[in-house]
Amino acid sequence: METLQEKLKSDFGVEMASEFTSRACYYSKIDCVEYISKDEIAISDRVDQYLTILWDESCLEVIGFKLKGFRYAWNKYMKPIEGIMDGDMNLMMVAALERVFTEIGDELFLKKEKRQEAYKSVISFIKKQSITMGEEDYLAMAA
Amino acid sequence: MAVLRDIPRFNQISAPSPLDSDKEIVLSIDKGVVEKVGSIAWTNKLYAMSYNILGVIPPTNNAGLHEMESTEEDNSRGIKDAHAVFQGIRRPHIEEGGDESVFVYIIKPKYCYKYIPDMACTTKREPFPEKAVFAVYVNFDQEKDIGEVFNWELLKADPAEPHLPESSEHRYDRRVW
Repeated sequence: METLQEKLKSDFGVEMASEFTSRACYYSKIDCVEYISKDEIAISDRVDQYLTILWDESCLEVIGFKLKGFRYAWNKYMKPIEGIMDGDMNLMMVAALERVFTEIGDELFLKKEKRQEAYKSVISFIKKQSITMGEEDYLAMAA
Repeated sequence: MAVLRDIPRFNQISAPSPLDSDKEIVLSIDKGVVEKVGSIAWTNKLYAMSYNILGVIPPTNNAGLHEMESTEEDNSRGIKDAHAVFQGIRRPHIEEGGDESVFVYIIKPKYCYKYIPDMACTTKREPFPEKAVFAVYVNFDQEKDIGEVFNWELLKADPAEPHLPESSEHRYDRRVW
């Protein structure tokens, strides 16, 4: 019987990594950056049109996040900041979230206080991580 | 439920048509997404692809071992069990309507499979999280009979309608069926 790794190889031509790595990935087709800190089942919880929190199964622990429309937000709000591209990924993510919250996210899904709480949770989560991104993803995201 | 010897190709999925739940079509899965998820070895997301989209127990050594003594029936058919389809996801910074080519299948599965660090078998069946639904995102061509899955995830369920995602009226343009 083919294993999962073998099925991915035979049906997609994809090599699965041997162990889990917590690394931010950029999905260019949907212009979205996603970061997951643990190999677990994640439940997506939309904060606004830009930010989604990824909770663990119990919805008690933040285990990741998604930033949608990222290239748009990045090019419009982040790239003009001098030195931002030389900073580490954690700092860039925090800066991006702070700009998105204050300038462009809306309150369609959550009221201001709840949005503020959600952004704070994610920023606090990011500060405890050591987020990296593959070079190919970084170039695609920042293009 | 497909038995292990009947594992279909992972990149060809039988699914209900987004326009007519009684009609069957074939979907593919975007290789780029599988590549990304595989590159970080997010096994739980790949298990969800296998079981909650294709309706196949994740093919791992001794899969089914932890469920051998269970008397619970598992009739999961993956995406064929979808009970709702929405059209048009609203993308950020795009004001006028949603992306009409995107359809979102919503499923409320009974189970999911979880990755566990176990020497004998790393695949364990669990009840699907009660406060969540499973969403499969598909890009369709103009005729709506060729589609490609480009994402899948668990979404927080609407507390008032636990078979639907929270705020579906704001996320999508319309419910098709």
